[in-house]
Amino acid sequence: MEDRLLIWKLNRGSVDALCRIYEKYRDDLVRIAAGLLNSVGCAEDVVQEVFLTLVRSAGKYEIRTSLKGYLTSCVVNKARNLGRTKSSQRPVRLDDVEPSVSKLRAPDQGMMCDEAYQRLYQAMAQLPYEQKEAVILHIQGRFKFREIAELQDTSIKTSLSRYRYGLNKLRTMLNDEVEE
Amino acid sequence: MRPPQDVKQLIRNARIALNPEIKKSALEQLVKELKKTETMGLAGKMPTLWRSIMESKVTRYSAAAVVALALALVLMSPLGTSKHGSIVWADVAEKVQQMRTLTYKERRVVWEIGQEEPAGEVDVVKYASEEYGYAEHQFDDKGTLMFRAYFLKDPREFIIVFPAEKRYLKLAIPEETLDRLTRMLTPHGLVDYCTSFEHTELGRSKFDSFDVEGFETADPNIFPIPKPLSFIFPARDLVGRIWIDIETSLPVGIESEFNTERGLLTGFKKLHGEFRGYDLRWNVEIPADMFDPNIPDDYTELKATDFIPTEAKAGLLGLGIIPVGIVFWRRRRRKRAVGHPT
Repeated sequence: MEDRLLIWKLNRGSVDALCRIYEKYRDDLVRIAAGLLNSVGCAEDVVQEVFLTLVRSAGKYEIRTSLKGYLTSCVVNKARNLGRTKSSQRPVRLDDVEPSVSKLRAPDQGMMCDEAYQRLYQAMAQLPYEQKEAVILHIQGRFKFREIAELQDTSIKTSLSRYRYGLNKLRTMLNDEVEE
Repeated sequence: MRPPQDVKQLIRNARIALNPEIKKSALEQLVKELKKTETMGLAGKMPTLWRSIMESKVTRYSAAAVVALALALVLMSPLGTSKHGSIVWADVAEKVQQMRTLTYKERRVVWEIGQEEPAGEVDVVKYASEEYGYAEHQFDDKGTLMFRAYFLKDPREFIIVFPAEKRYLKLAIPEETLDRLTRMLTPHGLVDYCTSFEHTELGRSKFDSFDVEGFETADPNIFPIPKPLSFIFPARDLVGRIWIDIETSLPVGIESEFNTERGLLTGFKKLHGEFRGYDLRWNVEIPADMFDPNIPDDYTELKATDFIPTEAKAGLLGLGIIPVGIVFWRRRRRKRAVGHPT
């Protein structure tokens, strides 16, 4: 509901609506793009391009699905195109992992978690792209498999398999590292 | 072995430290771009906010909805104890009955059914007093006052003033009707009015920063317009929610939604409305002049029929809903004015 109003206002040139949409979705979109591209810098660029497209289409944009779904789809498509043509420039490093994530946990746990995220991103970088996309879209983007299938231009069954394979591989990689 | 749930959790909670400076400058670039887009033609799409009362759908709709909106205030629960234990409804009722004034803000959004974009959204500030009655000021999204509306106890009148148009509508209200309206609109009446409506408890929730318990009612009887007159504003599917602050046992939020059939004051459109009342302040001092319509001498008076779209009037004449005399009298006056320019 609120998104519909925000788009309505954005279509009429409201800076406030733009800021609210940006604040609401930008960081999550960068997180998704960073997972896909294994690069924070590239992720920020991709998300900025998506927002620029949204702004340039102000006055014309019609919300047919959810705004979040629309923005995520745009990010995924742009990330896919970029991923095909460009290798990652700035891999996610340990100091990229936000320390505040662990604020609610005990200090020692927090350190462990930061390292865990670092390992997670490294492991994700090794997944086949389609599997990584399915995992990130389903878990971080909260996309349904039907939506992932549409985005990947495949069947629901295939997108579900990609997700399962990807998750299993991640689990194996992370467990192997722990055992080492 | 790490269970799959752990991996999912890890992915779900993963955060990346982002440079706030980059974020800020990226947003600045977007704002600049938006302004550029605006100068290239978007501005032309901005609606003229006030051409006339009759042409401004949102004003017409929300003015027509004044009575419907008032319902949001009155959706008090039947008395009793909450199943959840924290709120005792009798305490709420008693507290509210002790209150002499109430002010709050409300955001109203109205759609014509079938249209993706709302016909408009406005902000309203409401003032209710046991002593004087009820007043509300409605503003557009640029903060311009669109109208002031009053249900006054003395004299017993409904008045709505449109400052940009320099026009106003004044209707005398019979004592019985005013009693009914003020029972709904003023703090003291909140409890009395709705003790008999069916409701559902919504349990604990958050409303703005408050820990609240709420209830919802969808009882069709809460709409006070009698059936023979419902063609004026045929509201249906009205749902009202009241949120009570657990700490103070006072309402802190009022939400309502409704649909309408095609009606006189809906411009013969089917509408959907959503309103959210917030920032409720109880027993604050409201200056008496807030309830003074203070209509300047150069303002001219409107008739109730002026709220009906022109295109609808012809059809209504045929149906005998508007007395023919009203329209003919107006036309004759206009003709004479043209024929005798002196």
